Amino acid sequence: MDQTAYVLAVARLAVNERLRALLLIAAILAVTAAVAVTFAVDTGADSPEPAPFDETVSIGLTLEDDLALDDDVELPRAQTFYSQYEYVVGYYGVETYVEAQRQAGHVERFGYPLVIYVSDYGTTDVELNEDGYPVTDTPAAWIDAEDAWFVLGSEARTPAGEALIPFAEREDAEAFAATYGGEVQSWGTVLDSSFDRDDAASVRDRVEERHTDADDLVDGASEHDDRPVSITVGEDVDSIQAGIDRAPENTTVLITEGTYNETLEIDRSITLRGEEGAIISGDENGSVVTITERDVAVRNLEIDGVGPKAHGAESVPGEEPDGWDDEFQILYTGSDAAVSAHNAAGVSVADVRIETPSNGIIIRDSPGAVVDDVTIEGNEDFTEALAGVMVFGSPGVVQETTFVDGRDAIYLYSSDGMTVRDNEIEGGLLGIHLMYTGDSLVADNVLRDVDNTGIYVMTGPERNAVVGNQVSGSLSGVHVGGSDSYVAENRIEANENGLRMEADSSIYEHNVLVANDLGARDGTMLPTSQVVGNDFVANDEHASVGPGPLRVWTHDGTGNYWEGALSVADGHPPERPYTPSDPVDGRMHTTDGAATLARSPALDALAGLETAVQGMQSERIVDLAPTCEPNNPARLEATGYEAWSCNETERTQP
Amino acid sequence: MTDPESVPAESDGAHTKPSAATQIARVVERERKTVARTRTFAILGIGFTAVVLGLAWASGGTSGGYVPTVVGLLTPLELLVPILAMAFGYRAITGDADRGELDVLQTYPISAHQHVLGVYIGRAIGLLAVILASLALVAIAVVFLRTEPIGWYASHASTDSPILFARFAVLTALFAVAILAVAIAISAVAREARTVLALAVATLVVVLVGLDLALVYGLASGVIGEGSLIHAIAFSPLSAYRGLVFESVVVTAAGTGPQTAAPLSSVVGLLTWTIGSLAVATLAVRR
Repeated sequence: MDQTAYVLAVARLAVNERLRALLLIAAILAVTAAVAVTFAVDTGADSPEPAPFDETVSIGLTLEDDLALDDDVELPRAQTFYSQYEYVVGYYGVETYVEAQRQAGHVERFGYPLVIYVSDYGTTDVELNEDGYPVTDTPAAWIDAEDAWFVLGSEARTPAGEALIPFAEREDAEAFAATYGGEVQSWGTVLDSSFDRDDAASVRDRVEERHTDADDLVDGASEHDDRPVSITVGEDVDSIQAGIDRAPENTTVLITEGTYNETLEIDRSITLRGEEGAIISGDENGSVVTITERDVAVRNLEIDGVGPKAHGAESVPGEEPDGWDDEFQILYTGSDAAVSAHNAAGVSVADVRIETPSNGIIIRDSPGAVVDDVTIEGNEDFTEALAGVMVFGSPGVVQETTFVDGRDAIYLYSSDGMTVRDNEIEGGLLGIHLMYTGDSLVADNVLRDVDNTGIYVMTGPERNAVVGNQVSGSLSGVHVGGSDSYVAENRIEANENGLRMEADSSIYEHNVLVANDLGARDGTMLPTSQVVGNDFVANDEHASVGPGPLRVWTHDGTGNYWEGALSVADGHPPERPYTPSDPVDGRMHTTDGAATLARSPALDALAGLETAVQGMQSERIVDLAPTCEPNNPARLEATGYEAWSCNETERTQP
Repeated sequence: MTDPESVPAESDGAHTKPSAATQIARVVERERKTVARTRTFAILGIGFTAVVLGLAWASGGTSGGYVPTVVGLLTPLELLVPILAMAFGYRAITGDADRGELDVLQTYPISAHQHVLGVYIGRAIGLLAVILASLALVAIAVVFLRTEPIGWYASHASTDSPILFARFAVLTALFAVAILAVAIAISAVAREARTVLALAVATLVVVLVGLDLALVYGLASGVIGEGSLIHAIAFSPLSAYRGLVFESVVVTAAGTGPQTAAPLSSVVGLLTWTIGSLAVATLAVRR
């Protein structure tokens, strides 16, 4: 190598080295800067703008209340952006949020609030209407709750109760308080205030009381059994209608044995009672018995010959309904039925046997109505039929009644406070169907082989209790929507889908879910329900979950019994979280070997921290404390299925 | 002509001794090439990446977002990263000793600390490439696999953010290089292939289980006071790493509660393990 080349090579090397050193330093600086930025930057989502309220996942207002509100009513609202929950949660009533954030587990489920917006009434010329609802000429704007002033304890109301009215400016709040009462408070004080809100736990506490109230109502109706006989049809008169027309109020029209081809109109408070073998047979055109007066009683009769019009009527007996849904009410309640009662408070039907192609009993605007010990045979073709008992706006009692076929055995519409108990329902499309009906008790009914859904609570009502029912052989056993409801002690057996949990902020406890294709499905958007003390046995799949975050089905350290979840391997007391939707956990009760695989340290390591950010975790159910033995042994034994205790060391083949 | 391994050899005798940085850079380059050429490392890297991706998916994290993925990966990585780092480092200097290269190197004008640092950086490049690449793939998986919110509801990003995942990646890298330093130290202390394997396994047991159990014992017996636990956990690399991830990633989403880590102490803890181990390695090589 000649001298020049050598010198060049060495020089090039020196340049290369310097360049490299510079590049290296630059790279190190760049990486350091990037790392510094990564840690320095504030990742708390920069205060998101308020969302359109109708796009939030909202709670605090039933669909019916929403539909019934006048257009100019502007209810106070809040919307919260949480650190973990990806949807914006909308609250009707600021107090709904205040109570919700106080619930145990709220922070674990949603994280902390990044920002809370509330309605600002400062620019709206707010007034209160006759119901106490705020009425405005322009929609309220949104304001950060931290910056708002609240009028607490004024005359303002929402359909759910007392209402806080927020303002951006303190003077506006004080002006409002001067007119409508109340005190002006800051957000901090409001968060510490408590508001009277009935939740699922109070629904549970009221079940007994609801039974007693229903007993009283039924006892009251049975006093109509004792009205003195004033007319005997077959002796005093030939037709029942003639008897009704002649009978004084508060007396009984007695019908002797025989078939009477009549359709009747009852417009006075009497009792219509048959002797053994008394049959009223309509002309298969229209309703057979139409009642338009209060306290009418129908006893001990057989009724058939009902017209075929299941729905689609153009008029109703009695006063026309008046409301946002009057057309719909007419379509349904004006249709044909064996007994059709309108504006007939205290009407009661007992010991009656009905055969109908369309409807059995229609009750509209008749609070305190009682249907007791009736048998209703509906249309075998449910597409031609509607309801066995149809109740519109008439809280009352339907009990100890037997339903066969038809479409909906019991159809409840806008009848808050209804009690439906001890009925037997077989066949048909839907068993007990609640529309816009809250505060109701559906208890101890037995439903077999209802085609579609045994008990179906639709349209977002609040505070229903579904307790002690037995549902088997349906596509969907019990489907509860709405919120703040109590679903307990039911025996849900051999359905395709056992329990559909669509009601949030609810309690689901002490149910037995046996031999369903799918035991339970949690379909709520908000993970706010309490699911505890239930028994899942012999279901192909114990439980699954729809969209939304992780649900923890454990409350106060107790979970549910899941067949297969625990074994002697899990210690005394056994401790092991169970995830029914997990591919391995979910097979432990059906697949040999799954129980061994499920206890692999790799899976434990993966599951170890999964509840750290519940609200962000993808849809899944986890029970942190599954129970060793069934929680409801008697109810489970009645199904004939056996469940094993996790402490059993001997294997018994079913 | 610019091949760094051949040219300096020629220039050595005739010219001044190369700078320390150059000396280190040459060792780094040699180690980097060793790592790149060794099939075992390639297989380890692919295996690790596959496992991490599989874990991220199996934990359900990728469908939930970045933070759930971090939460799902944290515990498995506490176990897997030390094993990987140990695999990358435990033969680094022992290998040289085995082949007699160490003796040759000692005749070169390269000091022990330069040699150790060079080996360490060279191996670290390979290790970090594997870890950061697999975490980058996980981040990409989150982008594609996360469940889209239901369209008709208003949704927001909550506190989930790729920045938080980047923090996790940086902390995992910091954790990995600390354990790698330990591995290098073992490699320097034990010069025989047979002893180094035993020592590596024993060290892994201590790091993965022993130190945390020692902390538990310390807390239970009162040696560690309630007030100093937050700093004492920095003593265990696993707890230091876990605490840093909690403090800078998870707490951002989960909200307040007792402090999970004293970030400064934990970083100092990991750096102490790194620097201390490299010092031990230097002493051992000089021996």
